[in-house]
Amino acid sequence: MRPLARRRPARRLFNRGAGLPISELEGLVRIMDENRLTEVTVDDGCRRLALKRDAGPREPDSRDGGRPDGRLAGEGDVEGDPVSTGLVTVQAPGVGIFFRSPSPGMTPFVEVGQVIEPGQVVGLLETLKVISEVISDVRGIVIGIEAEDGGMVEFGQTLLVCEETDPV
Amino acid sequence: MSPFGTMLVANRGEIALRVMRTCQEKGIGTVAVYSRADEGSLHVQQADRACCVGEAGARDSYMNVANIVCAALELGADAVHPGYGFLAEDARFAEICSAHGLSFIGPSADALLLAGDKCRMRKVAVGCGVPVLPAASGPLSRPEALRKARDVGYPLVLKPRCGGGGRGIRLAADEDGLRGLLEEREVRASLESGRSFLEHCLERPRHIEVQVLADREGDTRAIGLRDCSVQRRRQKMIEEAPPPRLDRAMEGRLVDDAVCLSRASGFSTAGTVEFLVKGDDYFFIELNPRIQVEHTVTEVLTGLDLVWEQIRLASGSALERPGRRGATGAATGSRERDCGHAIQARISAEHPGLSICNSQHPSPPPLPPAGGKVGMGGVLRGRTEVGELRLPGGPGVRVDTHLRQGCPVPHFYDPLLAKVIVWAPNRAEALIRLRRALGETHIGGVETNLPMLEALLGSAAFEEGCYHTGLLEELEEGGCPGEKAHSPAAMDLPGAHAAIECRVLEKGKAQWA
Repeated sequence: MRPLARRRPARRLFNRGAGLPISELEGLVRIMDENRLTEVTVDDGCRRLALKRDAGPREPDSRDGGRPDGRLAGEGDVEGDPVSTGLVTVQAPGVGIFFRSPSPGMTPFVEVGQVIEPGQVVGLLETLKVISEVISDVRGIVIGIEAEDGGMVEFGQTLLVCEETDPV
Repeated sequence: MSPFGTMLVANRGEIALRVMRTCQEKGIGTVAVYSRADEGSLHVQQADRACCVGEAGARDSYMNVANIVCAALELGADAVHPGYGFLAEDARFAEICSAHGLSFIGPSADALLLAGDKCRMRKVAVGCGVPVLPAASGPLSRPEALRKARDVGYPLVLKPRCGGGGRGIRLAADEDGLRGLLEEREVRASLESGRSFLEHCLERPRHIEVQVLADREGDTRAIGLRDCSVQRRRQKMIEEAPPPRLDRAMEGRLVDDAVCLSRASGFSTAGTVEFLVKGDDYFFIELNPRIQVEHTVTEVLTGLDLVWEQIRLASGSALERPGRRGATGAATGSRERDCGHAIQARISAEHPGLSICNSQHPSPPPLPPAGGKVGMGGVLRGRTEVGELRLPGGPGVRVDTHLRQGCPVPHFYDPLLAKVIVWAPNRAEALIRLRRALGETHIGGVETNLPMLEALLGSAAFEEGCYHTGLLEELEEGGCPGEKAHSPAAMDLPGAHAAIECRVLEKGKAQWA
């Protein structure tokens, strides 16, 4: 038996508070600039750092591969859409059972393709019989639902993957 | 036969690994919990299953009761081992575990509440006829505190009634000192509410503790003593067993009183009764109803697996009868004096300005919130990482550590990196062996207390086995005669701990030569 979910959403790598000397970071940014990369992941076996650049309107990248994560690039891909700025995720705020809808048989809070806003309820989490709402802290178009309805999730596990959109 | 199917280990670092090792040997499945700062930690890999329970801060993760209990239930655990620190002495946690059908590996919630309250424990001790230091407790106004302090006698310490590990203790050398402390509003408030009390401070005592095991039937046995006098800011650094130069009469009294006290406090688990000893006097200070960092010293001396004993006792098993010491049962309380000598050195990280960072009261800089935008501050915050790692080995050496090359050393938790425990047929050989083992040890990329440990072990006072809790101070003051021959560097270090620390923190390799 291996641990539950071992997915490593890109967002999580940014969140880990990993400290790098600023020179190392600057070096990475320079490499990204020189090679016109939108994302760089450094993995030295122990520590992983992913840097991702907003594919913003200032520097339109016409090449394919602007979405380096192939797994997420297909469905709902809105490349070229000027308001799209990258991938973001909604993560489990605790350990518990994740529910996609208010009660069994009811319409899920969100479906793929739907636009979600910060503050919007996207699911429920039951921890020791206490049910709390899972609230989105991102704005975007849902392109993937990563957690099973009624399944256990761990803290920080990716529930939804969205294409981030700028506020209108 | 294993009393439990799956154990959730609600801890991290070396103690999480330690508990899992016993579980694995006994056929008990293991579940690890971890914080975001500990992804990829050895304890996460060692476990059969693992669950992330929160952000890096201890309160959000290793002390997050709801997430931990939920993980235990969802991953099929039937028991929870709290290790030490974090939730190990949290009566509420023990209660919640029981309420959800999980066996808490430790004493009952009631026993935890009692042991966690120093004033109540003092009363139990007095009831048992066990000596305690003069003290003044109860709500004390400023004039009352000053008046009662004269009866208690200076120097004295202001101690929190609950909470352990030497935290929150304030010293008043004389009445002026106490007046100074009473200027602080927090101090006044804690005395007025009875959250703190005054206790006479024994100068330069020895810290000696008795490891006890107790079952639910009240059968209680002492299985060994440990000397934990080498401390730095009330944190233990070196522990040894049996305590050097302790006469048999004193040993007998400590053992009898420890057994009497644990019986009276009604706890059924593995625990430790701590005493201060000076000359022919001894005083009870506290009872720790959990596995301790230094349990290893008793293990190498007795051959027992104390974690296993703890698990057995929690499942309701009885202590083995005297004279039937088997592979699975507790020792008979036979004197370990004939079993050689064991010493442990705790290797800790020296976080600049964060040396007293600890697991119970963590004060880490806040991480960016989950899902929030991460500024540069989040990425650039300093992180220490283990470079080249060389751990000691050879005969009579045991190393308990969670380190491996390249692993991060998060500054959110207790700075303990590794415990090096040696055994030898006698104390002199054990000391030589420990010096040899520490000489082999190299932890790259992290500033550690290794130079300080080596200076302590090289001191004449330690070598002769006549030392007390002020040993480190004396070394630093260079006031120990004969010191120079053993540790010339100690003479370069007048004044406070800061001197040693500066030295250790110097760039490059800190050497004592």
